[in-house]
Amino acid sequence: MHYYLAKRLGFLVLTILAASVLAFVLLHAVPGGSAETIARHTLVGLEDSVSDEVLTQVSQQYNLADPLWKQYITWLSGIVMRGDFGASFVYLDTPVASLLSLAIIPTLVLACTSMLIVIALGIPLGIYSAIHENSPGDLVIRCATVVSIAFPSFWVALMLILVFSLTLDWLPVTGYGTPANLVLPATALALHPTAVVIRIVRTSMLDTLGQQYITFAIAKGLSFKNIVWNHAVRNALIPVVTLLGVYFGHLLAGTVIIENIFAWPGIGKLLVDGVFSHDIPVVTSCIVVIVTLFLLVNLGVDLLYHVIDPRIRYE
Amino acid sequence: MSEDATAIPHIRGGTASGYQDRSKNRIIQEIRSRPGFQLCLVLLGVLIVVAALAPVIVPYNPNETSLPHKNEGPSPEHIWGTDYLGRDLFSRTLCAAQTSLIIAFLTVGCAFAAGTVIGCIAAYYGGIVDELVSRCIDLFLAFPGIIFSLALLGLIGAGILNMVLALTLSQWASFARLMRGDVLAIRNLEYVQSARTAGLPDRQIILRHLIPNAIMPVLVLATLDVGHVILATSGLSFLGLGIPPGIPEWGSMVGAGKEFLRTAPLNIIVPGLAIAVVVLLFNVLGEGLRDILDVHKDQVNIA
Amino acid sequence: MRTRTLSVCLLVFLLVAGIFIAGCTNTSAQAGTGVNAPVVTQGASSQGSAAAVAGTGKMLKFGELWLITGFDPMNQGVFITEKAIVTESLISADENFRLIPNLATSWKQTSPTTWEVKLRDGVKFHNGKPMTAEEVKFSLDRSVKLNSANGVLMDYKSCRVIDPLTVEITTNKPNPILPEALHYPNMAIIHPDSLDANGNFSKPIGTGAMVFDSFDAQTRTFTVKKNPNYWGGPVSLEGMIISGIPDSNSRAMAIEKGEVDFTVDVPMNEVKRIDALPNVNVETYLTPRVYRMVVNFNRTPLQDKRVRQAISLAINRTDIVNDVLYGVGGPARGIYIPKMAWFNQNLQQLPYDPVKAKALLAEAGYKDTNGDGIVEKDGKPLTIDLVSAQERPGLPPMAEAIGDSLRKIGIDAKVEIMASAASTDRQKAGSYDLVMSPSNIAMVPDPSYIMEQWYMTGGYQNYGKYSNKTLDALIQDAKETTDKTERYRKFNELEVYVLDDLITIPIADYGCTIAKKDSVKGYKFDPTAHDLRMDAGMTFTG
Repeated sequence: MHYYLAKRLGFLVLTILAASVLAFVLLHAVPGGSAETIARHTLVGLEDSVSDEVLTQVSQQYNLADPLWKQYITWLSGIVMRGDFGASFVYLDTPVASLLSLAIIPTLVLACTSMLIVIALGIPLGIYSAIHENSPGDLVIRCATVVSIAFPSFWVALMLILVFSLTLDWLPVTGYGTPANLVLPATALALHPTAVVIRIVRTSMLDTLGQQYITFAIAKGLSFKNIVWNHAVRNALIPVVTLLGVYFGHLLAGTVIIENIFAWPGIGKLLVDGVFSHDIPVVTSCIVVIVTLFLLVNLGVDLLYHVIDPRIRYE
Repeated sequence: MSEDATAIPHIRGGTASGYQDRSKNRIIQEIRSRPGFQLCLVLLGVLIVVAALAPVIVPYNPNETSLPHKNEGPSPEHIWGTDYLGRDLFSRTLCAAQTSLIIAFLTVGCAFAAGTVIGCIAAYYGGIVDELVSRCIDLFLAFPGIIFSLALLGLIGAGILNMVLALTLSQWASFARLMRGDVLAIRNLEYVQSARTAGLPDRQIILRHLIPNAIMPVLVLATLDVGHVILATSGLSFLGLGIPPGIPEWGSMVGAGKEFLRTAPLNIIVPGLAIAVVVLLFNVLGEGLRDILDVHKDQVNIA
Repeated sequence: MRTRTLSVCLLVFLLVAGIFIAGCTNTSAQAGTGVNAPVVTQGASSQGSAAAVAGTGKMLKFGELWLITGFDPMNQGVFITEKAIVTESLISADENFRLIPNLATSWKQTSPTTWEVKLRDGVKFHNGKPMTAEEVKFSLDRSVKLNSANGVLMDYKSCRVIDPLTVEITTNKPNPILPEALHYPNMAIIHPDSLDANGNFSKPIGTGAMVFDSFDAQTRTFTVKKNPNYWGGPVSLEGMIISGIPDSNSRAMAIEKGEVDFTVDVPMNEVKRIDALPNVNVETYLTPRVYRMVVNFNRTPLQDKRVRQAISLAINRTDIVNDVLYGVGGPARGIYIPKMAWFNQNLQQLPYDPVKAKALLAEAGYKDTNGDGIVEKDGKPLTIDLVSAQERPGLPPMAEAIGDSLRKIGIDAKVEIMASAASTDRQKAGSYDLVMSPSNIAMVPDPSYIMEQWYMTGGYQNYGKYSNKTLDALIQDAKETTDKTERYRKFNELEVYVLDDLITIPIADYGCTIAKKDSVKGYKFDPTAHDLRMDAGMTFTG
């Protein structure tokens, strides 16, 4: 058990390190750029006028002339030793670590709210659909899931804005801080994973209900209701739980687009803004944080899985 | 979730060579008994033909602007209206189908080819090769969704081939993982062992025995992945990364049109519906194939 | 038993994760330099305080164009300190871009490289201390040290205190437009107490009509209150709560729903609709910026003046202004905007004539010989790579429309839209034919500035590598002319010259929209500001 945990944690750290090298090397290979990005943000109106003189000075100021491996080591040791993710090329007054710490909470709030919607809608609807197989309700749910998976989330988000904000005037388009701000982005983000969870719960419920021990339990005279709640649901939820980590990853990735539509001040927005402004330290750090979150959640889910289903043994 | 224990697929009936034995007749029968699937096949056929011929059959040049006629509603001249520069939305949407399908097919093709070969090699040789490849797969799977493609595209700039490259790099790992699991399950079976003792070269064992016998689930994944890649492409170009504006693309049409959400929502609604219809068709195809080929559901999850 | 062990593991895991996140937050709070100063509040607290302040009914809620990334007036923080009228420069400009005294009352060139600047008496910083030559020297030195581009702009060598109200600024080379450079908002005058004990910037202590109050790092909300001791006289506006709303649709929603009282650049296609709303009005102004195309003179076809003329003639500027910009802006008449004192008022809108354009291409040897709709010369089709940045909302659709206009006269135009960082890279590398750019034409309010940067051999914004010895000499001559009338006359002639040769191809003047509640009264737009500047003289009654 301890060995297993240690091994998992070891791999986790190695994967994060490898991901950070990959992100750092890829992004720092951008030709020119860096010094110019900084220079452009130090002077208003410099949209198209950075002199070489300025570039040289900025390059020296930010140690951009160092070889790539040295820059990486400096950056990594800063994170490990001091929690310092380096200096942004754009937010000149705010270190990347501050930007990340400000952005991570909104992203977690959004992703977790969506996760709650996924669980609160996906599991009951999936169970309902399985128990009432082929009923009109089941058909509606099945059609809805197939269709909703096909719509891109950014389009759904825009339609939600069109209907609930622009036309009905019920909810705000952008903003952060109140529950009303959360409704539209969380809904748009939750759409795909909810549909997937409904389908998985349904399939796995149907599989479980078809198992021999259920037939046996019915033969024993247990009520159907009793069987569903005591046996089928518990067993049907196992595949859902194992996949929760994957869905959380999808949600994290989904926030990248959704946060940009709703101007949600999270990691996804920080990342995309960084990509557009060539703010390489911010982009690299955002990627590392997203990967770390994703891996941590997956590790947590794996452990949770073993709690739910003690039959699984650790190698 | 990418640990060995869960990565090994459970194949219904337990025989891995089952797919090859399954007669063509049974598959044809299965298809015959599914009118929905037949309809989907027909519609997809129509879609592919239309997409291929789009530049020839559309009524207008998709890039021809007519500024005074911007943001017009549907009319006999422009059946789906015009966009924010007065371009014909019907023509643009049809031509965009070509862009999306080219990207999706190329990406899935590359990811499929790379994933199959790499996964197969890892599982066949085992040991240090397998360990390295598996860690590499884990590494790429650690980047959720489009994150990796997004950063890469921001760097290498717009273009169809760049988009294909960025998406392939984020997609190949799931193919490799599935293939590796499939091959692991069959590589110690009798006929593979006997081929090995008979002295067949590795290349032939891989190409003749392993790949054909383990490929079906990967093929189903590939079909389902087409829809996934179309969604990812449109998401990236919606953000303004990926496709240069001279090439009509659904995601960038929505992205450019979002400014007109209130005054001219057709700019957004039309391409969005187009994406949904095409993705829906490919999803139905993939799921139909999965049932017909009897690949276990646990193996291939919808995106 | 097993389950319990596992639960414990899970708890430990969650704890570690929690510490990781918390640790991240804490370390960063300590690592911060600027935004973590005492005045900065973290988290949602400002929501409450903003609401409480708004209760007085006179704080103006301003939906800014850009996210507030910082507020150090010597770097990009000037975006906000200038707009919020917290900091001011020595010299100001009137609406025709002529210099007027501000914190400086007069200035004169005492030798080719030295300038003597007299300061206004009785100006007090927000901390109550008087503004003297010491603070001016401190500010200019800091501005140049922190941001080398500022030094380049002024050609700054040093600043010497002569007496408490006089400074002498020395330039490296003779710089006839130093006063114009001092107008630039980065050359703001701040008190040294703006820095903390470690020399890090903590908050802007300026001389402006508004005093910095607080900044909420979570929502990036910047709050200012009125300066009761403003040197310019009583301030009618109580204060402002400013937050950046970078998306134009969201700004429109915010003004429509009353979430803000004042905002800028709503989507152009919604200007009419928003103006028609009760209690809200929209005003459109020209700002010193033109949409223009930079021409790459290293490309053979573009070296032919007839090809450049054909390109310009293919563009219907009236349609672009009406249907792409929805009337926000105006068709370009020259390289300057009509409001500028040195604009050549005889210039007419650049003509649209596709027939003549085709004829010019034919005259230059480009004919469609294979019937594909694209003209060729010596068997090679005429291909134009048109690069555009995406940041300004008018640019991408304009680039697409122009690309199509060029195709209509037989030029195979390929339009590429990218982030401005990438498009600048392309300009530097020279891998383009035309670049669409929303160029600022009054960073320094003097005609010589862009004339020199854009058109002189080696000018650092002369990306197209245009070189013409005659023009160089004419610009040099005009630049050194001190008599204003004569100087403007020379620049009028130069404007005609560069337009005739189409060294760059102007498309449209850049428009800025101000959407505000009807209860905001007396707002005066400052066209010389960057985007816009709030006006201390306006009133807001809630």
